[in-house]
Amino acid sequence: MTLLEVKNLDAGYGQFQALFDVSLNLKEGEAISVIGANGAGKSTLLKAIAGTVNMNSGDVLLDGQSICDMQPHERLLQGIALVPEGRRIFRSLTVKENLLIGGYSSRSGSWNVASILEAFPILENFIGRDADRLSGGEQQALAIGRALMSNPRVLLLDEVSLGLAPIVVKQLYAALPIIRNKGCALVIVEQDTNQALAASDYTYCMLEGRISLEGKPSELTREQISQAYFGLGAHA
Amino acid sequence: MNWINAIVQGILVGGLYAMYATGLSVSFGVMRLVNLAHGDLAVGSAFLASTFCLSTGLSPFLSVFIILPVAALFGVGLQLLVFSRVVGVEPAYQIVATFGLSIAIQNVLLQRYSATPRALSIGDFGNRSLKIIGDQVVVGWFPLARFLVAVIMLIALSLFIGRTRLGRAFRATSDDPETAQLMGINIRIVYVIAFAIAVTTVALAGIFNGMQTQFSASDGPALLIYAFEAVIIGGLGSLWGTLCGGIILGVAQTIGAEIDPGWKQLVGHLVFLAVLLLRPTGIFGREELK
Repeated sequence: MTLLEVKNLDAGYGQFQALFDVSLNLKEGEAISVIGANGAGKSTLLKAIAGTVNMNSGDVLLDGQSICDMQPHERLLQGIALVPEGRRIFRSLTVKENLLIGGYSSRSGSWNVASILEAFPILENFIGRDADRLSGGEQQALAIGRALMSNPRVLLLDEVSLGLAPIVVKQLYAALPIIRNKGCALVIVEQDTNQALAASDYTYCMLEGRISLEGKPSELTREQISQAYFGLGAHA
Repeated sequence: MNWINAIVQGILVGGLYAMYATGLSVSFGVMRLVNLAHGDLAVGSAFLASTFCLSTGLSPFLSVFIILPVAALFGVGLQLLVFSRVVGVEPAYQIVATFGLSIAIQNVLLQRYSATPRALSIGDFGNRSLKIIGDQVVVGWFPLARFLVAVIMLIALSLFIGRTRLGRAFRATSDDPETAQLMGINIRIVYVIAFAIAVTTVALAGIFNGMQTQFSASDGPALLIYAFEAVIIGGLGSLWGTLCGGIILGVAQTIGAEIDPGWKQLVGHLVFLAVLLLRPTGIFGREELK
């Protein structure tokens, strides 16, 4: 059953339009990925779904109901949580306070501080520490844990692997099946296509604000993907 | 011994300055709003208290229970109607909006109360004092009480911000408002509450000031300067820094006055400038400011 649907979305910042006629579908419990080069509009798409970027036209539906008129904090209560690009942890709060803020207006569910520490054991030793003293990977784990505290139905992950060592990325991606097992659907945005394709059931490739390719990762060829990703030959 | 007396008096005055500065610290800390009408809100509250006392015959201390809720509501209204439009946009708009409000309040007060100074009489309590060391160090009961109220207010506020769920939301909003919204925090409500706190605390400071000295419609900007100096000496966004900044400013002024009565303001400003020069983030300020 379709959980989240984006229909013909146009969005941007003031005069600048970043998204053109973007549509996508996310089923209950599914993981989809959105890949594309820097500036393709991936982050804007997630922000438009979460409500921090204004949309010009189109629609975003959750359970068939439009959520376009809702503020970000209202969308969170409907079950949409975003792990923002660059992690954006609250630097003057401790690790535990960051998690508690994530549950500020939480839906009911099984995620709490204890179950998050179980999913991300690397946070355990730092729980009372100021969050700005964590390493990049620990901050990313904290950012994901913080978003989970609201017990979302849809978790939007923006560039989880950015700037992190491959081994750390692997650890973070290892937590994704745990999250899915608890019934949360995922939208994984990445520039690093390999991780994203391996972790998702369906993928969308974006180019210059438009969806240039979509399909099951197993059914797409490398050539198709790199053409859609870089736009090679697209203007020919 | 005069020096000790000067320092003790300075600390007590510092409590009042800290009370002035608290609201500025909160509104800047939480919503990066520099409210140039801050001092005028203090003066306006003192005039309201004076009207209340004259019409009811009750003590200014009782007026606090009426004026502070009014101030809080006024703060809510101001935030919703005016400041919500200038938070998070270019600082120039804030300056114009709050400076405009400052002029508007001054002129309304001038129109309503004329240019004649007023004072809030607390009767005999204002004259009673406590001898600490012989006749050398004498502490007035009222400045002492006012200092204690300032400290209690700061303790309460720091417990609220440090320990409560809403206080945590204040700090998260201060760090990063966009991400705070993603956590389910309605930052418009956070801003309204923060500004209501700012106006309430400065109203209390204005009333306490009026119990000791005369005030007139155009006093606001001078009070704003003291509040600014206390906040910046202590460090932006740190409540205990604000108390410390208020005390440093108060002590600098009383020591200056001890050297020469004409130097009171001058020494205060010089200490402020020295802090700005040597430690621009203030004594308790975090190293990095956004």
